[in-house]
Amino acid sequence: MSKLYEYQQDLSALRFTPEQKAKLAAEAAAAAQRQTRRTRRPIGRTLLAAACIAAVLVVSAGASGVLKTAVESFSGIFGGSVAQTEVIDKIGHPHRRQRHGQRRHRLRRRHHRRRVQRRHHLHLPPGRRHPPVPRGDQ
Amino acid sequence: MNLNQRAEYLAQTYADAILRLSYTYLKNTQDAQDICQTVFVKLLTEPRAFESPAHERAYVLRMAANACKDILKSPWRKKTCGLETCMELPAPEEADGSLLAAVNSLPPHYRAVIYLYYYEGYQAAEIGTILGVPTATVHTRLARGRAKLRELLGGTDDEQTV
Repeated sequence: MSKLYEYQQDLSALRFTPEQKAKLAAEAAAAAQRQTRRTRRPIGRTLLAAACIAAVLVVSAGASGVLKTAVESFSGIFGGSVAQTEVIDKIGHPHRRQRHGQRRHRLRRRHHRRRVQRRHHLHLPPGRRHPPVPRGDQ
Repeated sequence: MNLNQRAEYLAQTYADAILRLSYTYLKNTQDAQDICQTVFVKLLTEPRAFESPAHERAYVLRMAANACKDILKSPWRKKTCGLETCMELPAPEEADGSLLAAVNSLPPHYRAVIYLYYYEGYQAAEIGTILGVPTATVHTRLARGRAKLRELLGGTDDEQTV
């Protein structure tokens, strides 16, 4: 008996019995059915689950303060309330922008004051920036 | 043909071939049975049309070979060793002296080629199609596999038979 024949005989002995084949087929069919069922997603249930998750997220985010209030959210569209002001010298100034303008105005005034002082110190006529250069013959 | 009938047909037609090819790769009948199950479930869930029964057979064998390769390269299998496998382990195969034992001592890609050529009776080009390798590679693996078997079994008279 040749080695090749032995090899083929050994491998031929490796086989399923008819009962094992039937069992294998039944298990494979059941597994395939489970998989095909799983792939068909129920739309209604998916939507319901998505809505529940969204609701939970919104509620938890609102509770933790991550979300802005409805007024803040829609103020950009419908126009919000008047800007908050603080009272400075009995005049209401809006918070940020006017502060910047105020500082610029103060600087401008200060520069003007210094220019006037320098002109006065140098005896400059108005409109002249430098003192006149002394001439040699005078 | 409904799902059960199709499963029955697949089991009757291909179960043994898949079992043998998987055993050739994995040297383990338990894993080979799992491969059968995996291949059948894939064939049942993703049905496709075949040109001929030979085409279908080649396709099924290729699926089985790919599933075996996946198992062989999975890190889980590399790191762990099943209890039965550990207990079965090594009666030295040279002492056995059978050709099956000698073939089982070869690397998996040689085993698969030898099985498909000498047992299933495929030609080198067909084996290349089934395993996804060039025909020249199949020839090389066959030649090297034979040479190794000659070394293992000792002697030159086996050259005619293997």
